[in-house]
Amino acid sequence: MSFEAGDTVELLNELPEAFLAVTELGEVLFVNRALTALTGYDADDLVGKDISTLLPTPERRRVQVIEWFGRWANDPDSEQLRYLNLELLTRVGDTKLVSVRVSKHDIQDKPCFLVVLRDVTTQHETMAALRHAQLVTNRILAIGEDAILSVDSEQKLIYWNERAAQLFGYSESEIIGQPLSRLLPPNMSVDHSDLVTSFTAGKVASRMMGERGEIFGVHRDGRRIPLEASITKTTIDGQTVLSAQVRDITERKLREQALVASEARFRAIFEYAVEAMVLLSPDGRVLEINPAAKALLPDFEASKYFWELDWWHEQADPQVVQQSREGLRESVGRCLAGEVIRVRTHLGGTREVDFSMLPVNDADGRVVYIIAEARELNATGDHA
Amino acid sequence: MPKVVFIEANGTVHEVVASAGTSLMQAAVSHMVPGIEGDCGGLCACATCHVYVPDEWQAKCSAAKELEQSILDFAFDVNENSRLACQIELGDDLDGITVTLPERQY
Repeated sequence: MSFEAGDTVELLNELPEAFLAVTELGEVLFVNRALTALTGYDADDLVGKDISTLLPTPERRRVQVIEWFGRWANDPDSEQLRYLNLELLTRVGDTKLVSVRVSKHDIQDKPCFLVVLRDVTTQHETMAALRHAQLVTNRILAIGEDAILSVDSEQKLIYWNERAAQLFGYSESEIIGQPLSRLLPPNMSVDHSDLVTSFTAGKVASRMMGERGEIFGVHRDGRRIPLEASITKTTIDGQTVLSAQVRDITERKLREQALVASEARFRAIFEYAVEAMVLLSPDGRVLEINPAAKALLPDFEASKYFWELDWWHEQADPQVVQQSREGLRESVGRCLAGEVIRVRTHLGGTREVDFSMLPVNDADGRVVYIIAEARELNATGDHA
Repeated sequence: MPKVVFIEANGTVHEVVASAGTSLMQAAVSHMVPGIEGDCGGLCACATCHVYVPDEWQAKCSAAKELEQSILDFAFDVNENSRLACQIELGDDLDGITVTLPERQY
Protein backbone atom coordinates (compact mmCIF):
# COMPACT_ATOMS: atom_id res chain seq x y z
CA MET A 1 0.00 0.00 0.00
CA SER A 2 1.10 3.55 -0.61
CA PHE A 3 -0.43 7.02 -0.42
CA GLU A 4 0.07 7.79 -4.09
CA ALA A 5 -3.02 9.14 -5.85
CA GLY A 6 -5.54 6.42 -6.49
CA ASP A 7 -8.75 4.81 -5.29
CA THR A 8 -7.42 4.21 -1.77
CA VAL A 9 -6.40 7.82 -1.30
CA GLU A 10 -9.69 9.00 -2.75
CA LEU A 11 -11.53 6.74 -0.31
CA LEU A 12 -9.50 8.07 2.65
CA ASN A 13 -10.20 11.62 1.55
CA GLU A 14 -13.92 10.88 1.56
CA LEU A 15 -13.81 9.66 5.17
CA PRO A 16 -15.83 11.96 7.43
CA GLU A 17 -13.30 11.44 10.25
CA ALA A 18 -9.87 13.07 10.32
CA PHE A 19 -7.22 10.51 9.47
CA LEU A 20 -3.45 10.47 9.29
CA ALA A 21 -0.69 7.95 8.77
CA VAL A 22 2.64 8.38 10.55
CA THR A 23 5.80 6.30 10.77
CA GLU A 24 7.08 4.87 14.04
CA LEU A 25 9.66 7.63 13.99
CA GLY A 26 6.99 10.30 13.80
CA GLU A 27 7.14 11.30 10.11
CA VAL A 28 3.71 12.16 8.72
CA LEU A 29 3.02 10.14 5.56
CA PHE A 30 -0.54 11.15 4.80
CA VAL A 31 -3.36 13.33 6.05
CA ASN A 32 -6.88 13.21 4.66
CA ARG A 33 -9.18 16.05 3.69
CA ALA A 34 -11.15 15.93 6.98
CA LEU A 35 -7.89 16.42 8.90
CA THR A 36 -6.86 19.42 6.82
CA ALA A 37 -10.34 20.87 7.41
CA LEU A 38 -9.96 20.25 11.15
CA THR A 39 -6.49 21.78 11.44
CA GLY A 40 -6.47 24.46 8.75
CA TYR A 41 -3.27 23.04 7.26
CA ASP A 42 -2.82 21.95 3.65
CA ALA A 43 -1.70 18.38 3.22
CA ASP A 44 1.62 19.64 1.82
CA ASP A 45 2.26 21.55 5.06
CA LEU A 46 2.19 18.31 7.03
CA VAL A 47 3.39 15.41 4.89
CA GLY A 48 7.04 14.73 5.59
CA LYS A 49 6.93 16.78 8.80
CA ASP A 50 7.19 15.46 12.34
CA ILE A 51 3.92 14.59 14.08
CA SER A 52 4.79 17.16 16.76
CA THR A 53 3.68 19.85 14.28
CA LEU A 54 0.14 18.62 14.88
CA LEU A 55 0.40 16.88 18.21
CA PRO A 56 3.19 18.50 20.22
CA THR A 57 4.17 17.20 23.63
CA PRO A 58 2.11 19.43 25.93
CA GLU A 59 4.04 21.95 27.96
CA ARG A 60 2.91 20.70 31.36
CA ARG A 61 2.38 17.04 30.56
CA ARG A 62 4.84 14.32 29.64
CA VAL A 63 2.82 12.61 26.89
CA GLN A 64 5.11 11.28 24.15
CA VAL A 65 2.66 10.96 21.28
CA ILE A 66 4.42 8.26 19.26
CA GLU A 67 4.93 6.15 22.38
CA TRP A 68 1.22 6.40 23.16
CA PHE A 69 0.29 5.60 19.55
CA GLY A 70 2.14 2.33 20.14
CA ARG A 71 0.13 1.57 23.29
CA TRP A 72 -3.18 2.38 21.70
CA ALA A 73 -2.31 0.31 18.62
CA ASN A 74 -1.43 -2.68 20.77
CA ASP A 75 -4.68 -2.49 22.71
CA PRO A 76 -7.23 -0.73 20.49
CA ASP A 77 -10.30 -1.82 22.47
CA SER A 78 -8.95 -1.02 25.90
CA GLU A 79 -11.45 0.58 28.27
CA GLN A 80 -8.40 1.85 30.10
CA LEU A 81 -7.27 4.05 27.21
CA ARG A 82 -10.68 5.36 26.20
CA TYR A 83 -10.61 8.41 28.43
CA LEU A 84 -7.29 9.84 27.27
CA ASN A 85 -7.28 12.72 24.83
CA LEU A 86 -4.52 14.56 22.98
CA GLU A 87 -4.11 18.24 22.27
CA LEU A 88 -4.13 19.06 18.56
CA LEU A 89 -2.47 22.29 17.45
CA THR A 90 -4.14 23.99 14.48
CA ARG A 91 -2.42 26.14 11.88
CA VAL A 92 -3.53 29.35 13.61
CA GLY A 93 -2.24 28.14 16.98
CA ASP A 94 -5.56 27.07 18.54
CA THR A 95 -5.63 23.91 20.59
CA LYS A 96 -8.34 21.32 20.10
CA LEU A 97 -8.88 18.27 22.23
CA VAL A 98 -9.02 15.08 20.18
CA SER A 99 -9.77 11.48 20.98
CA VAL A 100 -7.76 9.03 18.92
CA ARG A 101 -8.05 5.48 17.65
CA VAL A 102 -4.85 3.92 16.43
CA SER A 103 -3.90 0.78 14.51
CA LYS A 104 -0.55 -0.36 13.26
CA HIS A 105 0.10 -1.37 9.67
CA ASP A 106 3.17 -1.88 7.46
CA ILE A 107 3.31 0.53 4.56
CA GLN A 108 6.04 -0.08 2.04
CA ASP A 109 7.63 -2.42 4.61
CA LYS A 110 7.74 0.32 7.22
CA PRO A 111 5.61 -0.06 10.37
CA CYS A 112 3.21 2.88 10.54
CA PHE A 113 0.41 4.09 12.74
CA LEU A 114 -2.97 4.73 11.17
CA VAL A 115 -4.73 7.29 13.34
CA VAL A 116 -8.32 8.52 13.38
CA LEU A 117 -8.84 11.73 15.33
CA ARG A 118 -12.15 13.08 16.56
CA ASP A 119 -12.57 16.63 17.86
CA VAL A 120 -14.06 16.38 21.36
CA THR A 121 -13.36 19.97 22.43
CA THR A 122 -17.00 21.09 22.64
CA GLN A 123 -18.13 17.87 24.27
CA HIS A 124 -15.31 18.17 26.78
CA GLU A 125 -16.02 21.83 27.57
CA THR A 126 -19.73 21.08 27.99
CA MET A 127 -18.99 18.19 30.31
CA ALA A 128 -16.52 20.28 32.31
CA ALA A 129 -19.09 23.10 32.65
CA LEU A 130 -21.75 20.61 33.73
CA ARG A 131 -19.44 19.02 36.26
CA HIS A 132 -18.55 22.43 37.62
CA ALA A 133 -22.21 23.43 37.91
CA GLN A 134 -23.01 20.10 39.55
CA LEU A 135 -20.19 20.52 42.03
CA VAL A 136 -21.36 24.01 42.98
CA THR A 137 -24.97 22.81 43.32
CA ASN A 138 -23.95 19.79 45.35
CA ARG A 139 -21.90 21.91 47.70
CA ILE A 140 -24.84 24.28 48.20
CA LEU A 141 -27.15 21.33 48.91
CA ALA A 142 -24.60 19.78 51.22
CA ILE A 143 -24.44 22.79 53.52
CA GLY A 144 -28.21 23.50 53.36
CA GLU A 145 -29.90 24.27 56.66
CA ASP A 146 -32.69 21.88 55.70
CA ALA A 147 -32.34 18.15 55.24
CA ILE A 148 -32.52 17.21 51.56
CA LEU A 149 -33.16 13.68 50.37
CA SER A 150 -34.23 11.97 47.17
CA VAL A 151 -35.84 8.62 46.45
CA ASP A 152 -36.14 6.64 43.24
CA SER A 153 -39.34 5.17 41.82
CA GLU A 154 -39.08 2.28 44.30
CA GLN A 155 -38.92 4.79 47.15
CA LYS A 156 -35.34 3.90 47.92
CA LEU A 157 -33.04 6.69 49.04
CA ILE A 158 -30.58 7.89 46.43
CA TYR A 159 -29.53 11.30 47.80
CA TRP A 160 -28.88 12.39 51.36
CA ASN A 161 -27.21 15.60 52.50
CA GLU A 162 -25.28 16.34 55.67
CA ARG A 163 -28.26 17.94 57.43
CA ALA A 164 -30.35 14.83 56.70
CA ALA A 165 -27.62 12.76 58.33
CA GLN A 166 -27.76 14.96 61.41
CA LEU A 167 -31.55 15.01 61.52
CA PHE A 168 -32.13 11.27 61.20
CA GLY A 169 -28.87 9.92 62.61
CA TYR A 170 -27.83 7.86 59.57
CA SER A 171 -24.70 8.52 57.54
CA GLU A 172 -24.97 8.72 53.77
CA SER A 173 -23.31 5.33 53.29
CA GLU A 174 -25.73 3.71 55.75
CA ILE A 175 -28.91 5.07 54.23
CA ILE A 176 -28.38 5.17 50.46
CA GLY A 177 -30.35 2.29 48.93
CA GLN A 178 -32.54 1.89 52.01
CA PRO A 179 -36.35 2.30 51.76
CA LEU A 180 -37.86 5.66 52.67
CA SER A 181 -40.12 3.86 55.16
CA ARG A 182 -37.11 3.51 57.43
CA LEU A 183 -37.45 7.20 58.22
CA LEU A 184 -41.18 7.12 58.96
CA PRO A 185 -43.18 5.98 62.00
CA PRO A 186 -44.33 2.37 61.44
CA ASN A 187 -48.02 3.32 61.57
CA MET A 188 -47.51 6.03 58.94
CA SER A 189 -45.34 4.29 56.41
CA VAL A 190 -48.13 2.56 54.46
CA ASP A 191 -50.23 5.74 54.17
CA HIS A 192 -47.17 7.77 53.32
CA SER A 193 -46.16 5.28 50.65
CA ASP A 194 -49.63 5.67 49.07
CA LEU A 195 -49.24 9.46 49.21
CA VAL A 196 -45.89 9.25 47.48
CA THR A 197 -47.32 6.96 44.80
CA SER A 198 -50.22 9.33 44.24
CA PHE A 199 -47.91 12.36 44.05
CA THR A 200 -45.72 10.51 41.55
CA ALA A 201 -48.72 9.77 39.35
CA GLY A 202 -50.32 13.21 39.79
CA LYS A 203 -49.92 16.32 37.70
CA VAL A 204 -48.53 18.57 40.42
CA ALA A 205 -44.77 19.04 40.08
CA SER A 206 -44.06 20.36 43.55
CA ARG A 207 -45.71 20.81 46.92
CA MET A 208 -44.36 23.48 49.18
CA MET A 209 -43.82 23.44 52.90
CA GLY A 210 -46.97 23.94 54.88
CA GLU A 211 -49.28 22.67 52.13
CA ARG A 212 -49.41 19.22 53.66
CA GLY A 213 -49.37 20.13 57.32
CA GLU A 214 -47.18 18.44 59.86
CA ILE A 215 -45.62 15.03 59.29
CA PHE A 216 -43.40 12.91 61.46
CA GLY A 217 -40.07 11.27 60.85
CA VAL A 218 -38.23 8.80 63.03
CA HIS A 219 -34.67 9.26 64.19
CA ARG A 220 -32.34 6.29 64.29
CA ASP A 221 -32.81 6.19 68.07
CA GLY A 222 -36.60 5.85 67.65
CA ARG A 223 -37.44 9.44 68.54
CA ARG A 224 -40.35 10.94 66.57
CA ILE A 225 -39.45 14.22 64.90
CA PRO A 226 -42.14 16.70 63.81
CA LEU A 227 -41.33 17.79 60.27
CA GLU A 228 -42.42 20.05 57.51
CA ALA A 229 -41.48 19.16 53.93
CA SER A 230 -41.49 20.47 50.38
CA ILE A 231 -41.40 17.83 47.69
CA THR A 232 -40.73 17.92 43.99
CA LYS A 233 -40.55 15.28 41.28
CA THR A 234 -38.37 14.93 38.22
CA THR A 235 -39.12 12.34 35.58
CA ILE A 236 -36.39 11.65 33.06
CA ASP A 237 -36.53 8.74 30.62
CA GLY A 238 -39.48 7.31 32.53
CA GLN A 239 -37.61 7.25 35.82
CA THR A 240 -39.09 9.47 38.51
CA VAL A 241 -36.96 10.89 41.27
CA LEU A 242 -38.72 12.49 44.21
CA SER A 243 -36.79 14.99 46.25
CA ALA A 244 -37.79 16.47 49.56
CA GLN A 245 -36.54 19.40 51.56
CA VAL A 246 -37.31 18.51 55.15
CA ARG A 247 -37.28 20.86 58.12
CA ASP A 248 -37.24 19.83 61.75
CA ILE A 249 -39.94 21.91 63.46
CA THR A 250 -39.29 20.62 67.00
CA GLU A 251 -37.79 23.95 68.08
CA ARG A 252 -40.57 25.92 66.44
CA LYS A 253 -43.22 23.83 68.17
CA LEU A 254 -41.49 24.31 71.51
CA ARG A 255 -41.39 28.05 70.88
CA GLU A 256 -45.08 28.03 69.94
CA GLN A 257 -45.94 26.10 73.10
CA ALA A 258 -43.85 28.52 75.19
CA LEU A 259 -45.67 31.42 73.53
CA VAL A 260 -49.08 29.88 74.28
CA ALA A 261 -48.06 29.30 77.91
CA SER A 262 -46.72 32.83 78.18
CA GLU A 263 -49.94 34.22 76.71
CA ALA A 264 -51.99 32.16 79.17
CA ARG A 265 -49.95 33.51 82.10
CA PHE A 266 -50.30 37.08 80.83
CA ARG A 267 -54.06 36.55 80.41
CA ALA A 268 -54.34 35.18 83.95
CA ILE A 269 -52.67 38.27 85.39
CA PHE A 270 -54.50 40.72 83.16
CA GLU A 271 -57.96 39.20 83.30
CA TYR A 272 -57.99 38.55 87.05
CA ALA A 273 -56.17 41.69 88.22
CA VAL A 274 -58.02 43.72 90.86
CA GLU A 275 -56.68 46.90 89.30
CA ALA A 276 -58.31 48.30 86.20
CA MET A 277 -55.79 47.95 83.39
CA VAL A 278 -55.75 49.17 79.82
CA LEU A 279 -52.99 48.36 77.35
CA LEU A 280 -52.37 51.15 74.89
CA SER A 281 -50.40 51.55 71.70
CA PRO A 282 -47.84 54.40 71.79
CA ASP A 283 -50.37 56.76 70.20
CA GLY A 284 -52.95 56.02 72.90
CA ARG A 285 -55.16 53.52 71.06
CA VAL A 286 -56.80 50.91 73.26
CA LEU A 287 -55.34 47.46 72.54
CA GLU A 288 -56.60 45.49 75.52
CA ILE A 289 -58.86 46.25 78.43
CA ASN A 290 -59.32 44.02 81.45
CA PRO A 291 -62.57 43.13 83.29
CA ALA A 292 -61.66 45.33 86.28
CA ALA A 293 -61.45 48.32 83.91
CA LYS A 294 -64.71 47.38 82.25
CA ALA A 295 -66.32 47.35 85.71
CA LEU A 296 -65.46 51.04 86.00
CA LEU A 297 -67.01 51.63 82.60
CA PRO A 298 -70.60 50.37 82.97
CA ASP A 299 -71.51 51.47 79.49
CA PHE A 300 -68.21 50.34 77.99
CA GLU A 301 -68.04 50.42 74.27
CA ALA A 302 -64.85 49.80 72.40
CA SER A 303 -63.31 53.19 71.79
CA LYS A 304 -60.40 54.17 69.70
CA TYR A 305 -58.38 56.22 72.16
CA PHE A 306 -57.82 55.96 75.90
CA TRP A 307 -59.16 59.46 76.58
CA GLU A 308 -62.35 58.64 74.67
CA LEU A 309 -63.32 55.90 77.16
CA ASP A 310 -66.37 56.87 79.15
CA TRP A 311 -64.92 57.07 82.65
CA TRP A 312 -67.11 60.00 83.77
CA HIS A 313 -70.33 60.09 85.72
CA GLU A 314 -73.29 60.76 83.47
CA GLN A 315 -74.09 63.90 85.42
CA ALA A 316 -70.55 65.24 85.32
CA ASP A 317 -70.05 68.75 84.05
CA PRO A 318 -69.36 68.42 80.29
CA GLN A 319 -66.75 71.16 80.48
CA VAL A 320 -64.91 69.31 83.25
CA VAL A 321 -65.17 66.08 81.26
CA GLN A 322 -63.71 67.78 78.20
CA GLN A 323 -60.85 69.22 80.25
CA SER A 324 -60.22 65.80 81.80
CA ARG A 325 -60.12 64.10 78.41
CA GLU A 326 -57.60 66.70 77.22
CA GLY A 327 -55.58 66.08 80.38
CA LEU A 328 -55.49 62.32 79.72
CA ARG A 329 -54.57 62.88 76.10
CA GLU A 330 -51.69 65.13 77.13
CA SER A 331 -50.60 62.54 79.71
CA VAL A 332 -50.39 59.85 77.02
CA GLY A 333 -48.14 62.17 75.01
CA ARG A 334 -45.85 62.72 78.01
CA CYS A 335 -45.80 59.02 78.71
CA LEU A 336 -44.71 58.38 75.11
CA ALA A 337 -41.78 60.71 75.83
CA GLY A 338 -40.82 58.34 78.66
CA GLU A 339 -42.49 59.92 81.65
CA VAL A 340 -44.35 57.87 84.28
CA ILE A 341 -47.65 59.64 84.85
CA ARG A 342 -49.94 59.81 87.85
CA VAL A 343 -53.00 61.95 87.50
CA ARG A 344 -56.11 62.28 89.67
CA THR A 345 -59.30 62.91 87.76
CA HIS A 346 -62.79 63.88 88.98
CA LEU A 347 -65.40 61.70 87.41
CA GLY A 348 -68.33 63.77 88.64
CA GLY A 349 -70.21 63.63 91.91
CA THR A 350 -67.97 62.30 94.63
CA ARG A 351 -66.07 59.91 92.33
CA GLU A 352 -62.41 60.32 91.64
CA VAL A 353 -59.90 58.11 89.85
CA ASP A 354 -56.14 57.91 90.07
CA PHE A 355 -54.79 57.17 86.62
CA SER A 356 -51.22 55.99 86.28
CA MET A 357 -49.48 55.46 82.96
CA LEU A 358 -46.27 53.54 82.49
CA PRO A 359 -44.29 53.41 79.22
CA VAL A 360 -43.00 49.97 78.11
CA ASN A 361 -39.81 50.11 76.07
CA ASP A 362 -38.33 47.63 73.59
CA ALA A 363 -34.65 46.65 73.49
CA ASP A 364 -33.83 49.86 71.57
CA GLY A 365 -35.51 52.08 74.15
CA ARG A 366 -38.55 52.86 72.00
CA VAL A 367 -41.94 53.00 73.70
CA VAL A 368 -43.99 50.12 72.28
CA TYR A 369 -46.85 50.02 74.78
CA ILE A 370 -48.32 52.16 77.50
CA ILE A 371 -49.90 50.43 80.48
CA ALA A 372 -52.65 52.55 82.00
CA GLU A 373 -54.11 51.69 85.39
CA ALA A 374 -57.13 53.29 86.99
CA ARG A 375 -57.82 53.20 90.71
CA GLU A 376 -61.14 54.57 91.93
CA LEU A 377 -61.04 56.61 95.14
CA ASN A 378 -63.93 57.36 97.48
CA ALA A 379 -64.85 60.83 98.63
CA THR A 380 -62.13 60.85 101.30
CA GLY A 381 -59.46 60.02 98.82
CA ASP A 382 -58.99 56.43 99.94
CA HIS A 383 -58.86 53.51 97.64
CA ALA A 384 -62.39 52.30 97.11
CA MET B 1 -12.84 5.74 59.44
CA PRO B 2 -9.65 7.41 58.25
CA LYS B 3 -9.47 11.17 58.12
CA VAL B 4 -8.15 12.70 54.91
CA VAL B 5 -7.05 16.27 54.30
CA PHE B 6 -7.16 17.60 50.73
CA ILE B 7 -5.48 20.92 50.07
CA GLU B 8 -6.50 22.63 46.85
CA ALA B 9 -3.87 24.38 44.73
CA ASN B 10 -5.24 27.71 46.02
CA GLY B 11 -4.69 26.57 49.63
CA THR B 12 -8.30 25.77 50.53
CA VAL B 13 -8.36 22.89 52.99
CA HIS B 14 -10.98 20.12 52.94
CA GLU B 15 -10.94 17.72 55.85
CA VAL B 16 -13.13 14.66 55.32
CA VAL B 17 -13.76 11.37 57.03
CA ALA B 18 -13.84 8.44 54.63
CA SER B 19 -14.83 4.82 54.98
CA ALA B 20 -11.94 2.38 55.17
CA GLY B 21 -11.64 0.42 51.93
CA THR B 22 -12.66 3.29 49.67
CA SER B 23 -10.13 5.06 47.49
CA LEU B 24 -8.70 8.50 48.05
CA MET B 25 -10.49 9.57 44.84
CA GLN B 26 -13.87 8.29 46.07
CA ALA B 27 -13.36 10.12 49.37
CA ALA B 28 -12.77 13.37 47.46
CA VAL B 29 -15.64 12.94 45.01
CA SER B 30 -18.20 11.86 47.61
CA HIS B 31 -17.26 14.85 49.76
CA MET B 32 -17.37 17.16 46.74
CA VAL B 33 -13.78 18.30 46.97
CA PRO B 34 -13.15 20.63 44.02
CA GLY B 35 -10.13 19.78 41.90
CA ILE B 36 -10.51 16.01 41.77
CA GLU B 37 -12.60 14.81 38.86
CA GLY B 38 -12.36 11.01 38.64
CA ASP B 39 -13.88 10.93 35.14
CA CYS B 40 -13.34 7.20 34.62
CA GLY B 41 -14.82 6.28 37.99
CA GLY B 42 -11.65 4.72 39.31
CA LEU B 43 -10.42 2.61 36.40
CA CYS B 44 -6.98 4.24 36.43
CA ALA B 45 -7.80 5.45 32.94
CA CYS B 46 -8.18 9.21 32.86
CA ALA B 47 -5.53 10.93 34.99
CA THR B 48 -8.10 13.36 36.42
CA CYS B 49 -7.58 12.44 40.07
CA HIS B 50 -3.94 13.45 40.19
CA VAL B 51 -2.69 14.36 43.69
CA TYR B 52 0.65 15.03 45.33
CA VAL B 53 1.35 12.69 48.21
CA PRO B 54 4.08 14.05 50.49
CA ASP B 55 7.13 11.89 51.16
CA GLU B 56 6.09 10.99 54.71
CA TRP B 57 2.89 9.39 53.40
CA GLN B 58 4.33 7.86 50.22
CA ALA B 59 5.89 5.01 52.18
CA LYS B 60 2.55 4.07 53.73
CA CYS B 61 0.75 3.98 50.35
CA SER B 62 1.00 0.96 48.10
CA ALA B 63 3.53 1.60 45.32
CA ALA B 64 2.24 2.90 41.98
CA LYS B 65 1.89 0.14 39.42
CA GLU B 66 3.15 0.45 35.84
CA LEU B 67 -0.28 1.37 34.46
CA GLU B 68 -0.68 4.21 36.96
CA GLN B 69 2.81 5.47 36.12
CA SER B 70 2.00 5.53 32.43
CA ILE B 71 -1.43 7.12 32.80
CA LEU B 72 0.23 9.89 34.83
CA ASP B 73 1.74 10.97 31.47
CA PHE B 74 -1.61 12.68 30.85
CA ALA B 75 -1.71 14.53 34.16
CA PHE B 76 -0.48 18.11 34.47
CA ASP B 77 2.63 19.15 36.41
CA VAL B 78 3.64 15.65 37.44
CA ASN B 79 6.53 15.25 39.88
CA GLU B 80 7.97 12.51 42.10
CA ASN B 81 5.11 12.91 44.58
CA SER B 82 2.42 12.47 41.95
CA ARG B 83 -0.13 9.69 42.35
CA LEU B 84 -3.59 8.91 41.03
CA ALA B 85 -5.97 9.10 43.97
CA CYS B 86 -8.10 6.25 42.61
CA GLN B 87 -5.18 3.88 43.15
CA ILE B 88 -4.71 4.64 46.86
CA GLU B 89 -6.95 2.59 49.10
CA LEU B 90 -7.70 4.15 52.44
CA GLY B 91 -7.20 2.21 55.61
CA ASP B 92 -6.47 3.01 59.22
CA ASP B 93 -2.76 3.18 58.37
CA LEU B 94 -3.53 6.24 56.22
CA ASP B 95 -5.59 7.98 58.90
CA GLY B 96 -4.63 11.65 58.74
CA ILE B 97 -3.12 11.55 55.24
CA THR B 98 -2.74 15.01 53.72
CA VAL B 99 -2.48 15.43 49.97
CA THR B 100 -2.29 18.51 47.80
CA LEU B 101 -4.02 18.97 44.47
CA PRO B 102 -2.55 20.24 41.20
CA GLU B 103 -3.74 23.45 39.57
CA ARG B 104 -5.64 21.55 36.93
CA GLN B 105 -6.81 18.07 36.03
CA TYR B 106 -7.83 18.88 32.44
